[in-house]
Amino acid sequence: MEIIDNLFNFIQQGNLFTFFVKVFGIALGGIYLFFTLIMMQQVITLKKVVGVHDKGFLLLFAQIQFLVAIAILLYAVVIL
Amino acid sequence: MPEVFSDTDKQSHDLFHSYCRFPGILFEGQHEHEIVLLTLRAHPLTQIIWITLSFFGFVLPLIIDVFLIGRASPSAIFFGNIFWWALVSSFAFYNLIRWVFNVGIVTNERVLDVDYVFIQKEVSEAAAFDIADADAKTTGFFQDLFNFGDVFIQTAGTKSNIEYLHVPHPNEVVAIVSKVSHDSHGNN
Repeated sequence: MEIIDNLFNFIQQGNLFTFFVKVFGIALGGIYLFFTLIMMQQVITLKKVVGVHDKGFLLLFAQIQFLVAIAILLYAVVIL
Repeated sequence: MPEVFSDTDKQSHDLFHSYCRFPGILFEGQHEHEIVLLTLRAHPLTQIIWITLSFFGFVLPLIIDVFLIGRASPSAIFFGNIFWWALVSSFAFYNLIRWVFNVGIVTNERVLDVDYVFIQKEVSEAAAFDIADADAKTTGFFQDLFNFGDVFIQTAGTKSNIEYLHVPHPNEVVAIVSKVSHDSHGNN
């Protein structure tokens, strides 16, 4: 019962929109993190198929994206 | 008549590595004495759409923010901007990866076509001896102006045909593929 009371209080205080923004942010951040992980693995796999003289920049960029995705997810969880 | 191998020992990388002679790359399944003669990618001009979209994608939040400031919380606006820019950079990166790894390879033994679409890669190949015919097709104003087009390599029997789409110097590619095929027939 206490949970339901807290939930009603939460809705009545007008925090519902903020709550949905947070859930939306976490969901998007999670999907994006998964996407960047796939991209990173794809770059590693593709570089084995065909050698490209990229001096490691493609993998570096993929890793940066992965780190940004982690930061976005953390931001959504902690700050948003 | 297009030039085939005038500078056989000379490595060259033209048009942002979309047409590389003797690129000195290695690929999966390469034979011990197999030499890569040519690597081909789509002409850089064909990539202009995603480059333009990415550019406008980066600029877009700066315009939208003008209307959002004061109406939404600063942390939500900041999150939206960062997330949007991350998405746009991923879109650009994915297209860059597609361009880099959609590559045609001509070696002294065979021709290969590596195709990559998200989480899917396909490698088609045909032995030089199996090449029946190679054609170049250039259609349209820009293809004529910037000298790029499609190369179709037909193979004997039921083996898969190879296509190199929107590649630079299609006539030279056909000449090189024909020479490789001719040489392989001469050796057998």
